[in-house]
Amino acid sequence: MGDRRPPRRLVSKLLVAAGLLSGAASPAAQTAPPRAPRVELELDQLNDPAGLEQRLRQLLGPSTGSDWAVANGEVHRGGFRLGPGQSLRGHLLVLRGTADLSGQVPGNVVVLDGDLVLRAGSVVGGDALAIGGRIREEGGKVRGERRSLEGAVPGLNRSGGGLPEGLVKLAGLAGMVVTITLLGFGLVLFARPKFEVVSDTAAHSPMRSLLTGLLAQVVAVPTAGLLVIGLVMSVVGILLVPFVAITLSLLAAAGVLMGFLAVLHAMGESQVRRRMAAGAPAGSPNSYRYLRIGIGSLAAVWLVWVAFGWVPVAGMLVLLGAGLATWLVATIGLGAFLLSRAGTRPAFTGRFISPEALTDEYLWATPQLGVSAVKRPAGGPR
Amino acid sequence: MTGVRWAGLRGNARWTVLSAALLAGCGHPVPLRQFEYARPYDGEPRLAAEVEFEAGALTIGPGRPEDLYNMSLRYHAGRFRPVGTFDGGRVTLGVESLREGGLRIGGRPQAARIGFSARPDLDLDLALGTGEAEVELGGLRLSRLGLNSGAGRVRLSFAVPNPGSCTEASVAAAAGDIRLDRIGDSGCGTWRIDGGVGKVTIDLDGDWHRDGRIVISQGVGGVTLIAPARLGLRVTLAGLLTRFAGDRFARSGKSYTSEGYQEAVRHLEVDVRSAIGAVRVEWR
Repeated sequence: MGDRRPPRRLVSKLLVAAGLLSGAASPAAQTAPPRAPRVELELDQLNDPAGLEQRLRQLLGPSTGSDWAVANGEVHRGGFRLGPGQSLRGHLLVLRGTADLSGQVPGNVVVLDGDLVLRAGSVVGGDALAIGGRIREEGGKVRGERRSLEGAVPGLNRSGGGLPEGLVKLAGLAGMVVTITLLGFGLVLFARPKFEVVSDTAAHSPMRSLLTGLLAQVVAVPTAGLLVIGLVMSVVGILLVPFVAITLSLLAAAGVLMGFLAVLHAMGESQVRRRMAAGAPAGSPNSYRYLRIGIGSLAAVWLVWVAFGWVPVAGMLVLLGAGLATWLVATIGLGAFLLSRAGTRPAFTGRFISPEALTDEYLWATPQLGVSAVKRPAGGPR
Repeated sequence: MTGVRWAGLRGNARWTVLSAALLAGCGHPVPLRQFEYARPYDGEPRLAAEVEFEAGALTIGPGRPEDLYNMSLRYHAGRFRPVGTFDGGRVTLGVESLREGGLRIGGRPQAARIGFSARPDLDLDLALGTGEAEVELGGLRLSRLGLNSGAGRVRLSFAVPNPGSCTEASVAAAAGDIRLDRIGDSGCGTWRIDGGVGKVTIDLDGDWHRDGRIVISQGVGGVTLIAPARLGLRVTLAGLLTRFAGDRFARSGKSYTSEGYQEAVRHLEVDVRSAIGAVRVEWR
């Protein structure tokens, strides 16, 4: 049986020949220089100077060599001077330079990155706008509105390129991570026992903590309202209303924050213990490390949003997911905070482990810092 | 125990310093931009003006004679965008939020100075967020005033009598202090003041062209009325926990009438609805 397919070398030769022929058919396309793209602008409305500036800078950045045109007007680059007695038709756009007018412009005048100087005798029939500059009235007149916009443009560098939105979000995320980390380290440093009790409560009773947190969110505002109304009704307690309002707000904020961090601590602790139990190197097990890992895990979720938040539908879904995860952590934390009475009640933590559970595996994987050493039974071998 | 605690912290110090450096690198002041906007006066008989200013310091007063209005605005670019549009005798001025979050680090506050021509009748609506507002409307032909403030301090004054005729003025602030000076020169016959939570001080001085009425609704806080002796004043209170303090008043139920009320050339009715607070009258 012979192979009827054409050999590969022949096919490639035919393709090259076809390409050459097609090129030869249009010699002009090869010899003529590439034509600059044409940028068309409307300057009839100058109501939104910030928007117009954004557009101009966007166009100016990549297409410096483009052929610019203004509908019913003209464009000049790097400064423009209109002498006395001279006049233009329609609008005037001056890019990256000063517009020095002594004559008449019947339409609107826009200057980007330069001043608009109105000498004696000059008249602008329409509106005047100076972006990245000022309108200097030196005897001239603007019949329409005068606008000027000065100062650094946010998110734009000198060349006109924009600061990526992702970088801004990343900076925001980094700021939040650092703030939360510092707060968490402060809690570990100054309130470690209570903080660990809240963390253990969240770890051992997550569902109860979640339900308690949900309930607390539902009843918090009505309860506070009732308390304030009760104080007002008692007349004498009216003076206490501001203090109660401030105290309740601070307590709520402290509860949510401590609980939130405690859940992140529990997440980190759980991960470290799993690694240790699996025999993997897990580094030094301490609360700072637990917090770091927990915060890192949550930040990773938000990092996905930073990376893919721009995707039309998926970005919104990622944002919703990250928001939901954060809310869940905060709710469980608040519940754990309430169940453990701000870490003063360790009943939910499961800290009192039965002697049967203290196996060698448990003790190996569990740091026993702070646990007093068991005394040798009296009368045992020495 | 303490040693272990500090040791753990030291172990993470490198990471913390790195994060702090990242934050420091990312934290940059929000850029401030300057926006100037003006429209020449061209014989307009009236002007409806709407000012929206969400945050910062706002100053309003008489503007340059050759301009119908002018605005000099310093705003936080990236969070706000300037607004300046004129359409069919109505101008909208101020800033609108871009609804961008974030933390502002350092820098000067946002501020605006707006001037209006004294020639056209002015129908003025102010919507303010947080911050301070100094509004001097003396000499302007004010035909109506509506001022809504979120939280902050609002001072509204009339240094010169209104040459026009004002139908009504209303001032509302959710929280914060309100001070109204020489409202007799405003030319407005009726004033409605909603104080929310905060202190309300009203100087009733000025050249009252007709009898006036002031309705004050105050949630929590005190109301102080500073009244010229020539004015006949009747204060009516509504509210469970509202107290009245003032000399030279005759009480009738919840109504307090000043001495010489009948003989006074101009009379002023003041209705105060307050949940909790006191109404105090100081004679000048």
